[in-house]
Amino acid sequence: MRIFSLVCLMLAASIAVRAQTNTATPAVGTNATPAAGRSNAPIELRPTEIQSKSCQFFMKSNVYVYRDDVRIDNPQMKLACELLTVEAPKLTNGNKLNRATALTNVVIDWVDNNGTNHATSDKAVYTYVITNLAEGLTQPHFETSSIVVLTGNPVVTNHMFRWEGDPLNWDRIKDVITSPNFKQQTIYQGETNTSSLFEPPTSKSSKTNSVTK
Amino acid sequence: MAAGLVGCFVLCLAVTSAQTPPSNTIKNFRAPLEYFDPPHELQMKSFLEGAEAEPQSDGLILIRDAKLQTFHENGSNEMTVVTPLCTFDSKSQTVSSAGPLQVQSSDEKLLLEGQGFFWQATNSDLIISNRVRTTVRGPLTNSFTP
Repeated sequence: MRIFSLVCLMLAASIAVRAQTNTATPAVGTNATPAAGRSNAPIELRPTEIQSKSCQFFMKSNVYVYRDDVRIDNPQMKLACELLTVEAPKLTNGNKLNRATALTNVVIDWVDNNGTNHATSDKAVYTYVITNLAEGLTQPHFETSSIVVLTGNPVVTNHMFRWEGDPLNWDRIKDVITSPNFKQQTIYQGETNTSSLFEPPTSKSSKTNSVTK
Repeated sequence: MAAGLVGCFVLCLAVTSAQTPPSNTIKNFRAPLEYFDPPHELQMKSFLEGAEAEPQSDGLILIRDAKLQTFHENGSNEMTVVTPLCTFDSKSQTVSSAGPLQVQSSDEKLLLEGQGFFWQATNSDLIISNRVRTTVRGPLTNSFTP
């Protein structure tokens, strides 16, 4: 009788567990994507993952706000901050504006021809714009700009340089960093002849003035 | 002997609860939540469905295996939210849950996962409370449109 009781209890428990498991199974679990970076696809086509504690999506305006311990993980770039706002308004005529604003304890690591670059700041604004300069004409002419502006004690370092300035403007298309207010530049010995991410010192001041004014 | 009786009782209870849904359960729940403004007033903006729905008090409806879809003005799917269990507040037109959810855009470029959410049909706002994980597919620079 004791054995019968045990069998009954085990059966009951297994059925109960099975029932619970069935209700908790996500309906689209099979569609789960592989983790970023595991794909064999080219780097620029690999998925980007954004993780945060919470988020708020304003679907009408296409504004997305990620809060608390935000981390972006992309094969080309990693970013951490406390608040990330992504704005992607719906535009017409092929025009496009994507803006991502990262706030508080911003840390960005990215890899380019110079190796790994490391940036810290209080705020980073990434703006990606496609503008049709020939609007109204039959043949559109698009211009693209892709700029990251770091403010709030920004520092950018790589194995060649350490630059401090506020703001630091990083043109991603030209792959050049400029600033109208350079504070400090450290060039590490033996690395000065290598190709630089930063604007050459001779053209720096004129270039930054034209950019910022 | 007593343990055996308890075992049998638990077994019967588990089988009963697994097989017989409560009497007020609605199968294949389907409800349009919102329509577009004119001239697209016949076009659904959001649609909620579920395998089972249990009406609760005060206009609340408990929905199992729920699927919430939003649509563009031309009728094409915008995104789909899937969750094993959620509560639909028919008075305030909101959907909420403390459980897991998955959100997928129609072009499959965006996949969202998280724990706990609140959806407001009137202004199409979605709040995910915990452990948010967004996967954006495609080139980062020109498709960063969650």
